[in-house]
Amino acid sequence: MPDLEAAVTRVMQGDGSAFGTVVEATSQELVRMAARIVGSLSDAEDVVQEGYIKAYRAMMSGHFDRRSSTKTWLYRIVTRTAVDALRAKARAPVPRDALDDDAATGASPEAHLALAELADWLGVLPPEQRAAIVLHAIEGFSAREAADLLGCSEGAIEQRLVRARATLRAQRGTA
Amino acid sequence: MNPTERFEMRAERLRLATARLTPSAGFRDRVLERVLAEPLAWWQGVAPLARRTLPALALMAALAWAAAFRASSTVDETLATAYGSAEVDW
Repeated sequence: MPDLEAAVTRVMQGDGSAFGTVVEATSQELVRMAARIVGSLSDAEDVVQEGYIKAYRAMMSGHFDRRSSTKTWLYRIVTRTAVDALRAKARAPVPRDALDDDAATGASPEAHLALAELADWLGVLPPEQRAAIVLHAIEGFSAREAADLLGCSEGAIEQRLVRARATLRAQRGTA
Repeated sequence: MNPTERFEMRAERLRLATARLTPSAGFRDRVLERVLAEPLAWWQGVAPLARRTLPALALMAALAWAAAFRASSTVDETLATAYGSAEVDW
């Protein structure tokens, strides 16, 4: 496992090439989490790439204060970028055919099917509730950790979880 | 999906089924290419250098201030002696 914190120190000292180690150490987890939120692997890669660019800028300009671990900080950036992407998609929906380029990515057909099922299941939820459900029920973060990642209060997360579960229950009732 | 499947069971099943999702081949290289092509403002390049040199510059400034204070005291003492001598001569 590459030493993430040492690589971040090097990037912050101006060695941009050390960012490769940061990507290597974190991309798998970040892409998987983003895919669960946005419901597509190719969209998730776009989200994570955008997150990495924000992170790189912050490291190079000295805005990353390292009060939290690099991994937590990257999770925070990518989670919020994923929610923004969902909001943008809600404003300008993409035709379903345009989402099928996930087949070109490396994951197994079963994983793609499961991701599509997850996207359909959570597709009825607003972006904030969808992210809260994924972070808490799928990724296994506590309500407090999810609140930190999404930049809201723990109470707001609890409320989103209750509403999301109610919506999903109602949807199952009508199915 | 089983219509009676509970929320927790479905979430767990989908968590396991999506656990092996991985980025596509070449993702790391694409990200690096994009990130390293980022135009940096001049101060973004200066910031890492400044972080390293700032402590040394601060120390040098403190030493310079101390030296200036000491030199100024010596001048004051010299002048005070000179005035004292002049007064005695007068």
